Amino acid sequence: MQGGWQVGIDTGGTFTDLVAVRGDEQRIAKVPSTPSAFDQGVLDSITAAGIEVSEIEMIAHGTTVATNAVITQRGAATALLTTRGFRDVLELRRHNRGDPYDIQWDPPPPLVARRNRFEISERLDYAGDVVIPLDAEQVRAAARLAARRGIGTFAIAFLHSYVNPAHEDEAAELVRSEVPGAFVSTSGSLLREPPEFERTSTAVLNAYLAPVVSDYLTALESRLREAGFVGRLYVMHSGGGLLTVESASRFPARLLTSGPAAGAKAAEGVAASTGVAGGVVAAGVLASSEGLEEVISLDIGGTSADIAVVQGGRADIVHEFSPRFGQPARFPAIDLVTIGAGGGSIAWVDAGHLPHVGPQSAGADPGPAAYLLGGSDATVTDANLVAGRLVADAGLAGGISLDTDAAHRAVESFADQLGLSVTDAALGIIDICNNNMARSIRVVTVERGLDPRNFTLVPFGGAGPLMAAELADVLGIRRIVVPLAPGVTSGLGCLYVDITHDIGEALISELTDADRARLQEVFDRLGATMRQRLTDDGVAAERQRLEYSVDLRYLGQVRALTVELETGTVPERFTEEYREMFFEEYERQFHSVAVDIPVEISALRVRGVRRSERPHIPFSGSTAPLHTFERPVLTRDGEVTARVAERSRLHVGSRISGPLVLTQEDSTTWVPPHWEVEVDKLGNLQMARSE
Amino acid sequence: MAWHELNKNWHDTTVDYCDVCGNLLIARYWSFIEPDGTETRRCCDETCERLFGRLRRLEQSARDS
Amino acid sequence: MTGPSKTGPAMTGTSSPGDGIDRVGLTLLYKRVRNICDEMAFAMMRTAYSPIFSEGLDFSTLVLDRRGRLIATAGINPAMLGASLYAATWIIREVGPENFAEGDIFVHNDPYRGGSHLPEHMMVAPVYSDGELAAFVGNIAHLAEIGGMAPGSFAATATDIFQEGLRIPPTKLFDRGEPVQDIWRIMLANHRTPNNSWGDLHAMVGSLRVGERRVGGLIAERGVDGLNEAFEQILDYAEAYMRSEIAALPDGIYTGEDCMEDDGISDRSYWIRSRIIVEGDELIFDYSKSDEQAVGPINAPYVVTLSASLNGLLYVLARDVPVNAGIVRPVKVVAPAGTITCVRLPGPCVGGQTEFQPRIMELVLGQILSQILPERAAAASGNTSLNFLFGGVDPRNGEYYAHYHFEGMGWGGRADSDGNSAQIVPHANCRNTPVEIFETKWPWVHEEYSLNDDTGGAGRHRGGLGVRRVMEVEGDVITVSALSERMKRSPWGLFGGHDGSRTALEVAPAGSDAYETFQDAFGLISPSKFTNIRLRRGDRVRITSPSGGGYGDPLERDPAKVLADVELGFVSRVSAESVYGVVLAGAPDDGLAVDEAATEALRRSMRDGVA
Repeated sequence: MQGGWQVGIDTGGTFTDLVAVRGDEQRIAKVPSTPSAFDQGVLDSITAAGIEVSEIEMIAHGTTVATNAVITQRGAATALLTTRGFRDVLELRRHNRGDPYDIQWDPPPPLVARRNRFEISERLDYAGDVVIPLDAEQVRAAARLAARRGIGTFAIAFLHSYVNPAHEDEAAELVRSEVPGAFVSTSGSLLREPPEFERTSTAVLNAYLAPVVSDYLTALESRLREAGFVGRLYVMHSGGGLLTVESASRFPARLLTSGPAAGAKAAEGVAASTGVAGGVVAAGVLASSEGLEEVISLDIGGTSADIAVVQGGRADIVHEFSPRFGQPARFPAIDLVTIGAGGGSIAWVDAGHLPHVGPQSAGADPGPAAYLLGGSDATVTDANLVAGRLVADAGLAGGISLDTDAAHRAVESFADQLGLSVTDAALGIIDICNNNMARSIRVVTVERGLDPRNFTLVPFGGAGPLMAAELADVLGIRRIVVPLAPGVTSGLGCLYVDITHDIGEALISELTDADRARLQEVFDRLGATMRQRLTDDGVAAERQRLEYSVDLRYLGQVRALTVELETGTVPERFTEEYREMFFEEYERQFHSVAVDIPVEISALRVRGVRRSERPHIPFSGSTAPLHTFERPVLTRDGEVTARVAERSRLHVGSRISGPLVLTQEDSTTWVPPHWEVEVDKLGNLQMARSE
Repeated sequence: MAWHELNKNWHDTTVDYCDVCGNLLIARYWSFIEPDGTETRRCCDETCERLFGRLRRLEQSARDS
Repeated sequence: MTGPSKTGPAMTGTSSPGDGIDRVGLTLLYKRVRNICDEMAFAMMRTAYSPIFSEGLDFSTLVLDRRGRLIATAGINPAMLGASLYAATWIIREVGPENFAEGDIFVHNDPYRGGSHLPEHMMVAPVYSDGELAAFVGNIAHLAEIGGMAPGSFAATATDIFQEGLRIPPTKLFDRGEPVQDIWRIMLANHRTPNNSWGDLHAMVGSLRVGERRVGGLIAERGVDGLNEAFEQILDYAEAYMRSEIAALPDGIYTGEDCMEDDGISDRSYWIRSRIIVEGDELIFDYSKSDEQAVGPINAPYVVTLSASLNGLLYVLARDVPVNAGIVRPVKVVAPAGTITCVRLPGPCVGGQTEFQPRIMELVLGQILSQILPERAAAASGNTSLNFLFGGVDPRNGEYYAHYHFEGMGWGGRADSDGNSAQIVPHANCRNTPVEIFETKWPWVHEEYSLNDDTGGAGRHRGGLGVRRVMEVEGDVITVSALSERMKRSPWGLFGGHDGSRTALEVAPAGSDAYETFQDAFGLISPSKFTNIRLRRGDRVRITSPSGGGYGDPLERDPAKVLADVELGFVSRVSAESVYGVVLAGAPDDGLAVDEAATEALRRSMRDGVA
């Protein structure tokens, strides 16, 4: 397979984006998503890119399928088996509110209805020793009753299973034998840590999503195989790493922000590459030429916008993601905010005659009025077309063309409800949408004490480059980098990620009492398991990298610190060495350290990694003369005459002032009058506000 | 109608309260004489003196009506 | 999918280039300061020894200006608002800013000096820039055990402060970076679990060190004067925000009253009488007609009454206001010393923070403000922290342990929705201690932890359910105490809604299933407030938290909702008929449905019966 295509495909709510790289060759494609069967869109994108399926070496796939199931509440009907006396753990939560000053706050309804939560006689104590043996007959009876209610998906979460998962495993076997084909998710297999609510919630989300995700991935893989696919298929997880189809089907809750994570990884990639190579040429335009350490990643698709902050070249990671507060999935996730604002967002007027945009979206079907696919509501895309920022005859991905008259009619009917001119209505829709997005960007910047004005905005997705400059104006951002192929950047992000797995084992012992041989034995065993897992993922031995760490804490503390180790070989003087490393890390994080308190080991961990090599995206600027034509564009300062050019015709290093509309196959960039743009060596558009 | 120091001994760990609002008095206090009487009140500051007047007037008008 | 959180409209609502740059800068500074508070909180949570820190999050972190005025606090536990506003400020004033030195840390837990109750310890440290005092950082945290007459330090039968634990006036804990060993030794010698105290006090110290570094970064950017001028503007902004919100309320005098059912010492109840005077853009909470201070520990220090009043207000108004010293400028709280609303030394007050505060907050919110804003009205919540505390020697390691525990409860039905089940007492926002952590730390084994079915106050909008916890003693002897409320008076319903259910504390001796109340079993004066009951291995305790009151006539509840409640087990089929007048036909899993005709007939006869 040497020399096959590396393909990144991201399925969003509206479009499916593809980027493929093979040596110096590169293909992109953007096709409508197919929500009734998302796999169709994936295959369509490959066809559109003109790639032979049989020549694909690897596909890395970001998918919205899990997110979509939670939002639309179309996960599987799920049963939960709990320890007797604890069926309400899921509903008791942690008792706190999402916002201390919001006493009207309501918790999310539990994903498993109370009648489908079954109590089983069994009990372990805190050390994992059996107090009450598992009552197998109760498990079978519960499984049968659930099956009679049409349930084929089970979560099992028993107390203290993170110390000893035996009862959960046994119950899982019983359920599987009682209900053939059942999907069973046990809490201890997902998470080897307390407490019970977070672990139960994680298991339930995992079960709830499993059939949807697994059906989808199975269908996708088999259709690919039928089409002659002989490569490997990976799925992006929320933390920005890759999983095999088998792993993703077992851990579907890891995919909750799969698609947006791909976008954030792409922004990391843009930041990294632009920092070294891209900034130099652009120095003429930009105030400085240093790398892009601080980036706001803004992915505006048809339905929603995903926003993430990249600092020091990396997107922030949180160790828990909750679709809603009180519904945690305890898996690593890139810290993202998603809002319902995109090209397809619908403009509407409320009972009090106030205009709004979104969060409802016309999506891909029926789409904006201008698509002529049956939509009649005015959308952000229609407003941009009316304002002259989208060019009707430029042609759109997937062969969609835009109809200006239809857009005009839709915006007019919105304008009539408010007694506005069509011009004011179109600009109003764009303004409202920008303000909605600005508010969310403030959540991930200002709310965390970061000044958005110090960041570079990296807009992508079909509508990102169209909206970015005026959004930047709202936020006081002065620098924008539009990637080479913004419409498919999320697809590219799929190619920027590593395969990673994490495993750990609880081992509680005071450092001074710890037995070196035992530690070594655990590390060796975890290491071997990890190597096997990577091998199963098709990672060659020489590309497998294992990272060892140990969880340490002061004796008596509840939480531990994870200390990274250089090797998995436990040194002879590990007591002193680990202690020193713990003190260093503690000092680094908490600025204080006490050397006279005993230190305790609580767990050993191993992470397995296969580093990706960031694909080289070939680019050579045009040398042909630049052809432009002129057209009127609406702005807040009145109508201006903008030049329109094909982006691919721009020369590296040449600087052009707005007003300017740059068209390309997958996106359109709007450069307002007070902005300048320049193409850097990598093909990025570097935009800066002219003072 | 003047500020006074509390002047407590270092080994005195008791506390003093504002006669108007109940808040803690620290280091110094403001004193005033009731407008319709002779009693001296110790309070946080001038705002408490005004508050005292306001509450008095409210009670007066409640009694009158 | 994570919704945008709310931001203050005037501060961050709209801005465009060249417009309101100062306001944007101010917003950013405030958020950064609050972010520092969050980092301090994170450090505390991560390094704590007690689950009450790491899991319960019963603490607050503060940044103050160089005069000791609160600029920002991590929004974790609203119950500590009053102490956050005053405790550090008062230490600084009492000690005198000129008497601080770099590296100093002061500690105190004195409820007569701005503390909420003895277990809550406040620390404050100055931040300097080239020898010039620039700001202070502080925190407040509830230590799980501080001595006194009852393990867990919630002495529900204390008659003076000296029985409640070790009282520390403002005292230097670190002198120029070095621990003042004599003070540490006195404190640790008086706590039952000194190792735990040592660890938690160090978690507090570490949190201050994080704060010092971060505030140092701000000073480096803006200079001492620049930073303090900006702080002043943040305070002015909060004040203006509050004033505009108060100005929008109709002027007038609004009154209400409620009571504490007993004080643990005698059977008598104590009344809180409140009036709110709204005048222009200022507001007065006047409690001067309340009962005299109680003999037992249900009294409130001044700051607790202040917290409750302000939180009652903030839960309704000015939701996005920066919580700092600016918000109290247009508000006055009148709580004369010697009343139950402002305890006078040496009155006991450990329960003021946990029992009195929610009562008075709900009084302000539910009875008084609902006269002004009826759409915000809700029936009563369970409204007790339900403190259950215990201590003993852990047979697993031979060490002494102690803990205090609180419970979630049902909240009241609202104008347009049911009350939520199993939420923490409304004046706080702490988390529970999960069973797995609980059992790992202490020798108890849980038999049940669940919602208490069929107890929510009936109504058009039902009250939320309380919680039931059953656990068995795993040590040889364990000493338990309790400090709670809502055993004599139920959470009230509103507009025809029924009352919610009451708190229960029950015990069954080893080997028996016959539960009886602690009061009956041990001949106690108060059912809800007692200390030092000795239980033995195998004895079981059942803690039942109250449910919320109902809102509106239960006969007006949508029968489909009653059916759903029956299917989920929240309401029994018997209650569906007898209380809601809803007749169901069929069996569970076999076409259970509302019998429309029978329901209509039954409801008609029930209404006639009432009329």
